[in-house]
Amino acid sequence: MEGLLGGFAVALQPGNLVFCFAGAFVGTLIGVLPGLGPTAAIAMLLPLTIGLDPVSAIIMIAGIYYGASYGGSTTAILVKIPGEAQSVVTCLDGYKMAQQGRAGSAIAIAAIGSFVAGTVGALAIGLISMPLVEFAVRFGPAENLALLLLGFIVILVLAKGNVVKSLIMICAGLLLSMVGQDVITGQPRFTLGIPELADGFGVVVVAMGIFGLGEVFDNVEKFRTRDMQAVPVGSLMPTKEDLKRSSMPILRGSVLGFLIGLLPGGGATLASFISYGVEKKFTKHPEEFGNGAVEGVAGPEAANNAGAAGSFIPLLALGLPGNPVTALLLGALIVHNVTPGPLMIQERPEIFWGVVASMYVGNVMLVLLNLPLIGVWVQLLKVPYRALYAALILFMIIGAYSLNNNPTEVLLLLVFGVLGYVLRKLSFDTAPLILAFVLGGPIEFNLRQTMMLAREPVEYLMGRPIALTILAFALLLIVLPMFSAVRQKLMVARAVNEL
Amino acid sequence: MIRPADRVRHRLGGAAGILCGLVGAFASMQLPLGNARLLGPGAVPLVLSLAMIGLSAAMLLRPAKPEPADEEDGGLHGAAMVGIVVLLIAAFGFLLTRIGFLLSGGLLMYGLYAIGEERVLSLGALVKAVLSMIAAYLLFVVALSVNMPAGSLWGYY
Repeated sequence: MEGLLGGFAVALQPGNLVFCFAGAFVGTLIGVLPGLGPTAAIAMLLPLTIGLDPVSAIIMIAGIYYGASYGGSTTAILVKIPGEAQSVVTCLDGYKMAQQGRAGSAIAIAAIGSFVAGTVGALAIGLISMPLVEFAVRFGPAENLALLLLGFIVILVLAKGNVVKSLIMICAGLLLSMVGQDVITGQPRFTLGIPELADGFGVVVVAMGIFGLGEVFDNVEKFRTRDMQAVPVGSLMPTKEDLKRSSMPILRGSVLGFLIGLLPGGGATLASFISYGVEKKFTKHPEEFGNGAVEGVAGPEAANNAGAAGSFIPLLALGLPGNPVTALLLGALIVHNVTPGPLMIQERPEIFWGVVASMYVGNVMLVLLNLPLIGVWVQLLKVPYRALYAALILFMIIGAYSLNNNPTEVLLLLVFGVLGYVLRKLSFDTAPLILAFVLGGPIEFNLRQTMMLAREPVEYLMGRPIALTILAFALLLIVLPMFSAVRQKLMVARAVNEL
Repeated sequence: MIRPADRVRHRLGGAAGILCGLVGAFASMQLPLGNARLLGPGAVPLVLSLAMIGLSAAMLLRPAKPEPADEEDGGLHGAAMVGIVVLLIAAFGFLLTRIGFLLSGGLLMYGLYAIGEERVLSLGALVKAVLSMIAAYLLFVVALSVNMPAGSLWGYY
């Protein structure tokens, strides 16, 4: 708790409060725009933080994350367009509530749920981080490699759509991360003789191109079919009945979301989906689910916020990003010369605890700032996308140029933007690519170090019980779904035979 | 029911993966591969490239599965709009250091707004472009001290 209090001392410094506020505000502004979620918002706004000191930069990025998530929920409720996957569930009942004239109530419940979950998340991080870090300082290259592989396998298990396509994306991301100097020998690789590629592709340009510009291109293509009709907000005060029915789903969602967020590949999206399922089981009004049940908004909104907080733990304590947003945060930390991992809490406590405390401060700001501004966000939704997209593009290309004051970065941004657009058109999920790109360097480094250390690989692995346990867990994750799929097929076959 | 567009996407995706894998494998083999204990710079990329070829081939050989329907596909018109936006950004990248941020940015913004209005000549787009560039200059160059180039063509870059 001492660390958390120190974190509040950092987060509540006037300068950091301003950056947290700016991040939450601009994040909401971008998050409210349909089709742009937290990942795109962070990718677009990363260059803004380059000149800041690391603590302020990370606090601002965390603010952008929460702001954009909150903005995404607002559009999910008002126009049934989720900012990102984590708000999809909110559409189901949130939009129905809005159609019944209860949009204000739905938005207020979402804000209260997010706030409670943020509080639970910040406290839980304070409790869990230290024991986890004490365990993680025993990690060597083999354990790090096993952990990174586990992360990839969880991503694969949870990947949406085709697993083969996700694997192709992982290979592509790893290959992209290998452009530039070799991590061990320093020899240039795949640079095509272009001096700007000697240091490899910057994570900001890759993420901004694939997530941000790619998303804008996708929306440009749909100018003609895009038509938004926001419903009236109504009163922002939830009824007593709404508050009563929301209290337990919010608490359940907070705990459940946090625990799911801890898993690599977990995070906000999975948390919101599972919470919705749980609330559907617990409710006394199952018939209302899908027709405007307030529990269907309260639980998932709390869960996705707590899941986001939980997903910060593997990132900050182990240096392991579990989802695209935390992968971008990892990139941002690296840009600011901060290496997340077990040693970060000891060496840079102000960053670790400052970020944890700023999550809480950010949530308070979102409630205080955004509830009165809902009218403004609704007005923003009425501005046609064809007028807004030009400003977004200008924002991104200035951001890319300002990284190194080099127009080549703008052209690289364009190349990755086109790549992101094409991959969307070919129905590839771009999230595994970014995760692999960010993790590519550490994976190759740890793999080659492990190979150097291990004269007899099997014997070496037997002497590393932690690495062995992690790998066994990873194997289990691959085998279990196969086993249950085979069992399901056998059951179907038996049922058909009996018929 | 698999739509013909899904089948084309599936095949294109597989073919593109194989092509990228082949290029990656060829480029990796130009680098030292090392041995099992001391992996060279080309070893890991080579394994990844071969994996990519294998996975893409497997994808190509398996029948396409129906993808979630893209309810808002913009068709050829939409793709053409994207193409023009790409060309405008590329032109901005090439012109930025030559004619400076204000002019190249102004041209880009005019083009983007004109595309939004679906008209080549538009007074509204011109006004919006000028206002956007003034706002961008005040925000980025004056307030945030971002060094945007003034343009070598004018002799003072």
